[in-house]
Amino acid sequence: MREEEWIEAARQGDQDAFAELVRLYEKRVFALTSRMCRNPEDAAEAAQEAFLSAWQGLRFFRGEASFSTWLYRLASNACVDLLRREGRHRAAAGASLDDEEMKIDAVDPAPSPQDVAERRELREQVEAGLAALSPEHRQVLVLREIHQLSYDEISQVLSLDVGTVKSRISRGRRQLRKFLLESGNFSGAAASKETEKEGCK
Amino acid sequence: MKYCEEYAALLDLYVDGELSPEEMAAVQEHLDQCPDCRRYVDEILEIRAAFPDVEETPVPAGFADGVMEAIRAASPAPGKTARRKTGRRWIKVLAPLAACIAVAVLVAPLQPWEHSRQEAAQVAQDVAAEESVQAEPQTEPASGDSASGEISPKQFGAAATETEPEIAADIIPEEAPANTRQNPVAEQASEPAPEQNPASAGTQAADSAENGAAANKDETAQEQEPNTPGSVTAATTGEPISQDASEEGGSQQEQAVGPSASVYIGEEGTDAWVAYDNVVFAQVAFLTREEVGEALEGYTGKPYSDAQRPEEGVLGTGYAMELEEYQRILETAGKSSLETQANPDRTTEQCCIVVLSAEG
Repeated sequence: MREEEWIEAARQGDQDAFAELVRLYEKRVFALTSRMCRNPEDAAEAAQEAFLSAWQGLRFFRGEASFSTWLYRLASNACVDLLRREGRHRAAAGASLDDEEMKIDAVDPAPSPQDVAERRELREQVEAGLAALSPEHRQVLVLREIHQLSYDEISQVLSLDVGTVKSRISRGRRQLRKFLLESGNFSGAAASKETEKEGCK
Repeated sequence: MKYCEEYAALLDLYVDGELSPEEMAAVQEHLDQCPDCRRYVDEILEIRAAFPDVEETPVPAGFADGVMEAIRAASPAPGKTARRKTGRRWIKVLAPLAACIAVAVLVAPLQPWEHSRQEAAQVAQDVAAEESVQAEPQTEPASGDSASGEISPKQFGAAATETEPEIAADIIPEEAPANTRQNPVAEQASEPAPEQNPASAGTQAADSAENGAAANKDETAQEQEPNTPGSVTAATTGEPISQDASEEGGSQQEQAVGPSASVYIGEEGTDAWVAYDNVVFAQVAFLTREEVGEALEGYTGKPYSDAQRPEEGVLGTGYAMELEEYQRILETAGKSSLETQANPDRTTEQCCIVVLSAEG
């Protein structure tokens, strides 16, 4: 398979082969960094950092884990590093490193009638909802829903045990769902007309 | 809703395909009967459908080219590792010292080395002369003495001291860690059997020193330089390079290059391990030379330091290996208790045994 050949060649120092890998994976890496970082510049910086780390670390990459899982982990780490560096600067300036501040500015989940009237696309709402989540919950949902990684793969990328992955996905998902329901654009499973009386006792 | 709690925990696993076929069948059966759970599943699937496709992710134009440009810019030649930006700061400070190291390593006052010593002295002089742009006073005594082939410890002490204040401003270690760095080499030098290790350590130190001197310039131009001292020492292997501490007297004292000089000036293959900088091993164990005994015979180690503890400088000599070997050696050393879980931050599955210096 082409990708495996590129990986092997890049591991030997073939820069052209590595360039192919960059092109192959840049969207996937950006899909992660653009949602974990505060702004597009940071997202690009973290993405570049991830690929540079991959280039430097390729000789250590044994291929037991999949290349993509390893790369996502580098990307995730790059985002964390970036946030930490910025956090350090802010801390030095006297600001607190409260986790709350790490969140991207949350969209008000209780929109004005005007917003509701605008009937934004559900997709936009999903992005807004993701942005409103804590980084931990956002991370797992992005990897699950956008990158379609298994729980095992997510646990490898984020260095968490699977139990933690499970609970974060569950909680993150419920928070996202709540956000969307409250934002008014997500009607929920409107098709369901069942009444409570048929439900669980 | 209490009944549903049992299944509620499974619903996420269900939509994520993490259930066994039997479990899936059980959940599906429940969903047929439970509108609440079914609503949840439907909503999650609707949200899922609204997630953007990864292939639609916008990527800044020219991103891939920018990455490759950064790689090429950082590589002295194709295929080499990128150098960290922060390396520049270290290089400017360490280059003059590196010149001293080059002289110390190359100009060993051992009789059989007479011919090579003169050769090495000439090379060292060249190196020192090139570094005269940033000439701190200490480079002059260094090059001045290289002709005679003798560098007294005192001069080296002076040389190092003059740059110490500058160095102290950074996180380069002082005397103690300097000894730490030098001792693994000294240890290897005093080993009876392997002639490889002292020579390779010397070569390694020489390479590091040369790299330190070279890297401040255009690196490609310096390609030739590093090889010369390296081949000189390698060619005349057979006598260990004396790197004894000053109490033994009569020989050079290798002052600190700093743990990171050779790291930031990488060639093909790293010259040193810096934990949390260029590598995070799956496991690391710190053993004394006595504990390791001869188990690492024939292995080539690299200076090991930890970016999370930069003030400690080089902690010892690190030997990278697969988990099985690592476990075997720990067991041989009676140190299986040092085994830990694999570091979740690891960038490799390899483990590292760090041989600490004998001195404290």
